[in-house]
Amino acid sequence: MQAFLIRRFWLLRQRLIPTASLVLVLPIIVFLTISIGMKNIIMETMGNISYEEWVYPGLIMLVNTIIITPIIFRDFYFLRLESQTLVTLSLSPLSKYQIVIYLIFSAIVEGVILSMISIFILLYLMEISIGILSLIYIIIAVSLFSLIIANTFTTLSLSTHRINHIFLGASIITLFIIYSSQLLIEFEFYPKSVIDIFKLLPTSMILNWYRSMVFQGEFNVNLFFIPLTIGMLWTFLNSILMKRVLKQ
Amino acid sequence: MEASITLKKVGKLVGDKTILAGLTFGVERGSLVAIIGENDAGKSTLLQLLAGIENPDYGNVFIHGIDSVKRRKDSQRYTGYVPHSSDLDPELSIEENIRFIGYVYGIDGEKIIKRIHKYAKDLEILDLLHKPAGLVSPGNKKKAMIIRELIHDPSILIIDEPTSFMDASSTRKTWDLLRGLAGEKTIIYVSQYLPEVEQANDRILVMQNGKIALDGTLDKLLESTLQYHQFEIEFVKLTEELYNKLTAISTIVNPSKIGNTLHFYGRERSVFFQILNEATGQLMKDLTVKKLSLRDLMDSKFAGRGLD
Repeated sequence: MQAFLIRRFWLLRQRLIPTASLVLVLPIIVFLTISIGMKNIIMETMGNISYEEWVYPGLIMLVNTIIITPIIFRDFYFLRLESQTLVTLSLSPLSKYQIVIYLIFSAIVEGVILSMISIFILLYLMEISIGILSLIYIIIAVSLFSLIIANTFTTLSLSTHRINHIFLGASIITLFIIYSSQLLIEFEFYPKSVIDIFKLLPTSMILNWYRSMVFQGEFNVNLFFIPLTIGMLWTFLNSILMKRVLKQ
Repeated sequence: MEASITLKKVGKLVGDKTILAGLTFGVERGSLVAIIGENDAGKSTLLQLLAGIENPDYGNVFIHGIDSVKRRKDSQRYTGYVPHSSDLDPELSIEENIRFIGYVYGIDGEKIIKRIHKYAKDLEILDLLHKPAGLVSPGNKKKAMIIRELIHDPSILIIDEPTSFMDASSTRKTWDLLRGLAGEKTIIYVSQYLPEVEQANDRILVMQNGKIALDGTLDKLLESTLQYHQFEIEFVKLTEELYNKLTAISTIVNPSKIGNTLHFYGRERSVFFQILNEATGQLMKDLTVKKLSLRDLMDSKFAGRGLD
């Protein structure tokens, strides 16, 4: 695992300026395009919480999704098909499960660290202050959310050989997650039959877990452990997928 | 001598096409083995099977007695595989690429640095170690890939075209390193560059249509051709009539005509005098007679007919 973390640090160092620009500009764009406009449409949620306070975890997850997507795409698509580095790595003594879990976890660590910088900028722009506990919860929630997102894009990156399929798939998945997981709009705006399905999504469970922790002070065991279990199981399935894709 | 690699009736199919057809052979520990053959003969596929990138459809590959499919991870500890094209991460530096693989194999950091500097010095890429791999020339990338595979000190080194993209000096340095390692390590490689295979002068496997057509040292392989010579006679004018007349001589093997030059193989030099006799009155401009090389051995038409 250490080798994979060091590798992420080396990669980050190699493209420090573009990454720093993304991390600094992304929360500003999200704030200008989503937060400012949406708060004039939705003043308060159904639970009488101001929209800005309700939506910031969703915006944080959105920023995290945008940061982690290229990391995963690079490791599982580009390094598999373009540079073949993943093939060489598969010849090492590590099992496919270890390779997938180390690549995903190191991507999550980088994604969460970069997201944290963006979170502080976003919260500053939105004039929201959160306590230490909320900060710890949001780090846990972002890590869990990253686990699901990383696995989703790993599956996508491993199961296609065409770059246009990746872009199409990534766009559809991102839009789906935004509107199906309460990132920007709460479920009360949707028909009940749709809500019943969306509530079962691990991404929406994570946001529900965080919001119930912060706004109601309740730790919902199911909303935490179900996405965690799905994430771990999905990582295992991705390792099987990688084995099949590499024909080993 | 103990076998490093053993193949037992190994076959590989792609769709309904047979890429490798029931290969059975062994490679002795510490030997230097070249695999040569025409395009699509199955050379690279064979290397990929040995490296564990591909699985055989039937048969077994044993690396130091370990089944490479059933105990893949155990067998892969003994092998290092250098593919034909670069597989380095283009955004990492050369040194970072090598160090990462070293860490993955659990090699001590100090040992990694020591080995990188030793081999980088041998291959003269010390000044490139901190350059991103994407900015380095293909020849130097190849050297970096060889160093990367040596970092975990494998006992078997599998290389697809060891000196591809390299200039003459780099080729020499790379072969100095590989020859130095042979004996201590088993090196099995594919090469299209036959003069370097001739120079390496160890065991050569000639592949044809997924099978081993010939197997032996260069001297052994050329033994059957030693009586043959290659002739090139340039006439002032080589007409079709003259060409047909000359190629009718029974001792001429595999004749061909390029412009006014007649190419053919002959078992004895005396065949030249038969030509002189038949071509009386025709003006000749030039004559070349040489002993056969590995290139001639690879000439499939000739090999099919004459290498008895």
